[in-house]
Amino acid sequence: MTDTQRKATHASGTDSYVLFELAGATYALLSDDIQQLEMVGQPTPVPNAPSYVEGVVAVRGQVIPAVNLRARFGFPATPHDVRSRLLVIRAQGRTVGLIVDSAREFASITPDEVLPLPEGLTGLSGRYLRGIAHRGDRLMLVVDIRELLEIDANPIDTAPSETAMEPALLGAPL
Amino acid sequence: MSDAAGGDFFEHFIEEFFAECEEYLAAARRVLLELEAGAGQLAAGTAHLQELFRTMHTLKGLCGMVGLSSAEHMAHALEDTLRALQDAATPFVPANVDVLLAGVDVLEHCIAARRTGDAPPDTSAVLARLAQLSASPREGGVEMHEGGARAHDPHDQARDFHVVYHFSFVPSRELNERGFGVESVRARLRELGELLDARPRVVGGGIAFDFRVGVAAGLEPDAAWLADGMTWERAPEPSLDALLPGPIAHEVDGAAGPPASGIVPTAPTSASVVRVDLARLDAVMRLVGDLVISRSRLEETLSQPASGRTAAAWDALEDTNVLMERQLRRLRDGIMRIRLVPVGEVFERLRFAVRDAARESGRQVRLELHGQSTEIDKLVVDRMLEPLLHLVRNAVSHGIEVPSERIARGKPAQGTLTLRAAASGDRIVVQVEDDGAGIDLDLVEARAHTHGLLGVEERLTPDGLLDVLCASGFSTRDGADMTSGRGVGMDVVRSSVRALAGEISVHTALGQGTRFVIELPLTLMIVDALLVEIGGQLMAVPQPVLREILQVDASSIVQFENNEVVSYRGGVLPLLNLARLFGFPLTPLTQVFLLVVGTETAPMGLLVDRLFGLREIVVHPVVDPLVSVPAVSGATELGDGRVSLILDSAAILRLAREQRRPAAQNTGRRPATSRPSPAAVSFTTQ
Repeated sequence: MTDTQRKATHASGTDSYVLFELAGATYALLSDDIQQLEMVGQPTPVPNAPSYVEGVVAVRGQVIPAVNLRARFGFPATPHDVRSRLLVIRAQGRTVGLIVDSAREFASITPDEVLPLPEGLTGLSGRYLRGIAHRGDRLMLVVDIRELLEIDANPIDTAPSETAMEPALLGAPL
Repeated sequence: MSDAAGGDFFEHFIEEFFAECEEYLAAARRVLLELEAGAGQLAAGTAHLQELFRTMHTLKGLCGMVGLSSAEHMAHALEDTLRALQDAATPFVPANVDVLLAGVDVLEHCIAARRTGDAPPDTSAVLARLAQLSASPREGGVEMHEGGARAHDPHDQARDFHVVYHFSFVPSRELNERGFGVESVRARLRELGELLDARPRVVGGGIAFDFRVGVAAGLEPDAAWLADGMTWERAPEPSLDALLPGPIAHEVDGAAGPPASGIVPTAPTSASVVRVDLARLDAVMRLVGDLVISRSRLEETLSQPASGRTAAAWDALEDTNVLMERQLRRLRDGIMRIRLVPVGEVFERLRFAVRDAARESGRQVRLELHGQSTEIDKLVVDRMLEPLLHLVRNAVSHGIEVPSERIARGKPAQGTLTLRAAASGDRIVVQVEDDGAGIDLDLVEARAHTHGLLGVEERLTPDGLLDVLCASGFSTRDGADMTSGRGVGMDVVRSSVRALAGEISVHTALGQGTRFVIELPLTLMIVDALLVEIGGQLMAVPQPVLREILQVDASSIVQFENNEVVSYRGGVLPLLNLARLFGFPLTPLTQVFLLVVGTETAPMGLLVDRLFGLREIVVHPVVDPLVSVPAVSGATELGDGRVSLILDSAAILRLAREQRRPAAQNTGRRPATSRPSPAAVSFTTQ
């Protein structure tokens, strides 16, 4: 994203988001944090890296980790298909690839639309979600990429699946 | 002179030879293009022909020097043809350039074949076409051997020489210091008569050069030459024919000759010799001088008696350390600058691809070059040739429309292809731009849907265009035509660029043209590495750390307790099974390879499944904490777009050693490479 675009989005008071799908739920990531979207190639496994890291891939001459977000959030693994995408995010001086089920939509969301997470949402998912936005009856989980990277950088092990929030649960009326 | 010195000398000599040939070939091609552009202007044409003639004459001599007879022959035939054309009464026509270019192509491939060790290409078809061209002013069959050429040789005294001398020259360091070498010998012999034949010969570990020279009546070698390492004798047989290759031209239908570019599909590799501006070498020499001074300062500080090593001495040491660090960095930069060559070298070579592609696809193309003097690493230049060739051919045969179509669209009949290079900080930007039809995004999207590259409802974004174009086997044309069906596809273009730590992007406007932008680093960190397979993974091991490579039977590996060893030089060599260490699947093999690393007194064998040979690789750092594990020092791209990890054998050894020690000792001091990371490594050997 160029600087002019960046200014444009902020000036109008709405933020531009890239929407991606993961295990049936829609997530939103700030476009500014996304360097590019790529087809998922074949990551090269790195010995002794965390299990949710599929390996490394080369993007723009840089070798970066490819994190399987399904594995990271404790969802069951599925093979990559033509819709699978690598979201190359750039934040806090790091460049990391996130493998998601698909990513093909943009959305403009105003800051007021992002509602705080309901009380009682705890566990891992509560930490990396900044809030929830509604579009009609559709829910968008707004990801806090800094927090997500923070979690990644901490030497905690992969989250066991029970700590991950089931999307069905989040989709329930608040 | 030892064996090794002789070998080095020859290696050096042959590299020089390739570099020189490359320059002369490039010059020949440039002249041919100028000749084609100015065909009809007789005066200019003659000057060009003369220049070409001289170039071919030099190439013939060079090739003869290294006993490369196929190339020597080819250069000779070209020389012959050029002479005939110069003498011809008929004006020079562009069709002649085709034949000459075909000859230069084959000549280049003869030289390249020597370099790669391949069999020389078949030269008969082109020789025949050349012969036909040169035969036109004469009559009947064509004489292609030296006898025929001699009649026109500018060295008049060589025409009717009577005696053939065999000369021998043994180069030596002393002679070299006096500035007397093979070139000086050749110059002398050329004065004396006609150089018929020259080839190197290995003698007693050194190297000698043998020459045969046809000498005119009344001339003799100068006795003083003996002092310069030259010896000679008269050849016993007066007949020249025995010395010369037989006639190589046949009766041919010249018109049926294949087009120049159809003969050999691959581009010849370029010489691994860089010509250096003396000022840059001087700069490096000065830096070395600075380092010598720094070292003497260091020595001075260290020579003080131990008791006198005060805080001041410590400060002095630190100062020297900082100074040397800065000097070493400058030295490295200086050496990097020596590796830089102008990107124009590559651009010049692309001229021919453009010309051929335009010819084959019926396009009219004007090539514009900008920023040829932009400098870039020699390795980058060499590796960019193939991808640029593809982009340029694509632009001509797919981008630029045929003249009628262009006129219909209100564009000039002649399309423009622009190659630009510019430096931008520590990156180089190379652009290939055409003013052709542009890429039809709707068409690409439709094809992407049928190929399943995009989801059914998914739209093609400008960012995604390159992904789709690079998907293997993707083409918006139904049949691969002659030009684009050859060579590498877009996927290979992109992975070649990425292997050089570069990036490629595409910008297109329908009806207006397409521009590919390639960004490359100015310099690269390059290492020689051995490629190995470990548990199905390709990995690179830097070559300097390898002490030895052994191939052993898996059955000869002895296990005791937690260790695996093989017998080695009268002792045992402890092994580390890398696949097991990394948790990769174990492949049962009867033969395995051991990379012996470590110190002489404490060697260790790293067990790998297969070897794939040495390669120069570009090192990419792997920095993200998620994947920075101690065993991996970096990564590289090997051309197929996939990444291979570079093993840090020192770190592996350290970890292996620590793991053998009792755990209590482990906690005291952390190895330098270990840092807090989620990927803290646990090495289990079970």
